[in-house]
Amino acid sequence: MFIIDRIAYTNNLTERHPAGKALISLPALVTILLADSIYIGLSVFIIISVLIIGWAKIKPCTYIKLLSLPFAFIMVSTLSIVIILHKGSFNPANRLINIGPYYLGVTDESLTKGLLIFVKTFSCITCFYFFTPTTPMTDILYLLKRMHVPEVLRELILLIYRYIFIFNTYAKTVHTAQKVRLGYGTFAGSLHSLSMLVSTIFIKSYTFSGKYFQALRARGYEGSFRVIHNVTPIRLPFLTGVGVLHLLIFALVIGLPL
Amino acid sequence: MHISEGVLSAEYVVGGYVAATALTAVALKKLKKEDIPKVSVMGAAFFVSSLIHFKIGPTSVHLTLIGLTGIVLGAPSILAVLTGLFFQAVMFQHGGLTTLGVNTVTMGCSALAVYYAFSQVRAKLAGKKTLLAAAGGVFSGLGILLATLMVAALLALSSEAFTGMAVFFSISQGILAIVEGVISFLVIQQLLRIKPELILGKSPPLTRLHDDR
Repeated sequence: MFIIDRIAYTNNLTERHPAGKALISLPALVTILLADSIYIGLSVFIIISVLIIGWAKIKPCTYIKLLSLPFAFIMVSTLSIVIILHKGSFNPANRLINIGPYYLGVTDESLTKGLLIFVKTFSCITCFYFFTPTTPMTDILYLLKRMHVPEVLRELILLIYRYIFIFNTYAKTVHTAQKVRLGYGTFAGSLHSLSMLVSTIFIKSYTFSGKYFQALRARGYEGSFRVIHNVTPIRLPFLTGVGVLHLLIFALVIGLPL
Repeated sequence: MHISEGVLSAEYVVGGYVAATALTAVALKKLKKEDIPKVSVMGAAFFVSSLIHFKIGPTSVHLTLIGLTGIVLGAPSILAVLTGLFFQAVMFQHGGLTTLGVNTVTMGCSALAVYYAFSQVRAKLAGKKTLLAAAGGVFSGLGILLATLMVAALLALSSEAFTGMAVFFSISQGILAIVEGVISFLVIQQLLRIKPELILGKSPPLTRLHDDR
């Protein structure tokens, strides 16, 4: 249903150890954040994108679709950095709109800054796209367990993950039913429909949680789920590859000619 | 309502995680094991509700429902917020894993503030349902404004270049606050009519984990 969840089980790296994949994406991410440069951001973006398409075998069109998910969100934040609010003396060439004593405008400085943030954000997202869509949720939970995240929190993540799918189907059905009956025709009508939808989801889920808990208790639930994790161990060639990759990125950072 | 990846500098990322860990630890202490299914189911319900996009003029906003989360769940709402944001980061890349800490703090704190404010008036207004619902709606709207202020302050503090972004963000969130307040009012009104124990907080758990006779 959610595109990312489908990819998680069908890509080439599904069976890999989650920590191994994290070993690739996390250091790359830290490099981008610390290096703070357009050049490094772009290079890491290209390297990781090649890995995602070439190694994880995620189809290029799917990858572009994934990248477009947060695009609007990032575009808005970038634009609000590029266009700055200024008072008083300001190069007229840069002015866009006057609002009283203030000017909205674009400067070279703000353009560079906006571009930097845009590249940084996108390459960070690429790094996560190497990890999250290639790893099934059970593997992520296993990793969280090894990181000593409290059991209760992992339990919550597991259960919420499960319920999201159930309730999303339910919410969509109700939403469609309301739409068909012109529930979202007027502004007042849509407020009313939306509040009805939200409250039915709550009531339904509240009743459901009681029943679910009883069902779990009847099957011997003691406050934790026990799941068998099948993970393939990380092997030496893989580690060497990861080392070479990070050396390459490091060489880029300190500006070695390759 | 969330800051995206790569915007904040390292010290804010680390600071956010430290604060979020502290908040989570407190919430985990307050959480009873038999409440886990309830918190998770409600957490999922909030997540799903926030996926619904709502048209206002040319743009569409989506609800955050942090006020309602606070009112219904109380202190454990931090956990629902944390997991909700975790899934938004993992599944939709809204927000991000590095900024998860900061986002949890801003949204979780406002959920807690709404819960606190609402629990102050809950007993006094228990008889007057419309008034109680209105109070809930107003608090939820204010909760959004509180979270917005925190995010805007963080953005403005972390870099001067973000001041414009902070202003823009505040304006768009102001509209959301009003919509969210109205929706929360209507939802609380409905819930008071159909299942008042969700709002009034007198619900006995259906089964207990350790009272087997």
